Amino acid sequence: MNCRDFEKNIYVYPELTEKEKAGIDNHIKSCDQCAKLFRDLQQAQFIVKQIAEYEISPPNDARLTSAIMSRITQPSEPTWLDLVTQFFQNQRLRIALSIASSVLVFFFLFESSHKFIQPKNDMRETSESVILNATAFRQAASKRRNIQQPFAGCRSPFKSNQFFLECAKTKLLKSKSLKSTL
Amino acid sequence: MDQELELDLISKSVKGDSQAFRCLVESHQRLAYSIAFKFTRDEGESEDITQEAFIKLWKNISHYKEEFRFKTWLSKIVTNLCLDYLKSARRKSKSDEKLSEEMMQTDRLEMKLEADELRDIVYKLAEQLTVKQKAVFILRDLETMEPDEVCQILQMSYGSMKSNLYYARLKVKESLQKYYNS
Repeated sequence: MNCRDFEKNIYVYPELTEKEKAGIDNHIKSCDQCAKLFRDLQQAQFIVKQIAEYEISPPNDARLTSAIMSRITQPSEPTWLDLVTQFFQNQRLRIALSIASSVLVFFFLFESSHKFIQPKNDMRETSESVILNATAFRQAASKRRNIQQPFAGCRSPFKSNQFFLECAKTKLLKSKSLKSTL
Repeated sequence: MDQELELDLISKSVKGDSQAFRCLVESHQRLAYSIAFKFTRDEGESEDITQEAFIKLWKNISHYKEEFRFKTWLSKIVTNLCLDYLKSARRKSKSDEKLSEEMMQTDRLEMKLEADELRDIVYKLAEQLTVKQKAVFILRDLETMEPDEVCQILQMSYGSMKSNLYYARLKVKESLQKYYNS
């Protein structure tokens, strides 16, 4: 190593390894120029060290702390994502939503069970209506039978319609003549 | 601050405890302000950067990893904000104003105590460094952070950190020598 290499290392003497420091210590014993540079630099570093020891502090510590803390505690403009997150993180809202969902589930179950029973009623109504219809049918049939009774002997599956009409005419005439005699 | 207490405050802050975070702010805001002031040399900007840094910290506190020191993490956030500031147009307009203001204050500067004067000189020298050199110089020499911590904060290799430090110390030493010789 020559003086130029040592010179560069003298400036960063505190940052060198022990081995590198020992190399410089040996060199400056035999080189006046490097020894002078080493002393000058030590002096300059001493001045810088004195300046470093001078404490620099803010004009008003308490005011600076308050300014920082007020900016931290001050709520910032929330984004839509923050609003959604806050909305679902709200404890009261979560309780309210769970109550509402429970009510809805209960209502749904109640409605379902109500609908399940409903067919039974429908069935009862249907059966009643069937009974009613049967009665009506019976009444209609007996009425029809009463009307058709005078012509009862005229109906025959082995005779034609013409026979029925002839038979019915004669029976009607008979009944008319009977009414007139009475 | 005790490491255990610090971790406890962080875990409480993760859970949203703003009072625990307040304790962290109170114990670390001077460090944040100090770094910011060394970069910006402006009280208002340093306060703004400190506030921004703690707000970022609060928003990302859940991502905190125990293998990093809290101080290192905070310093990294502050340094990144300072580097953004140095690149911004806001800083360029301010530094022009500051230059004319400093020219007017030269007479008053002579009246100041030597320590204050030296501090101003070193800060002014830091202004002339490149952004990387300035960051390395502030964190390593003015904030006296460990070399590994500086590499972590600035996300640079050890070699790159040494190289930037060499140029920074070279310029600072030459400027201080000029000052003393004049």
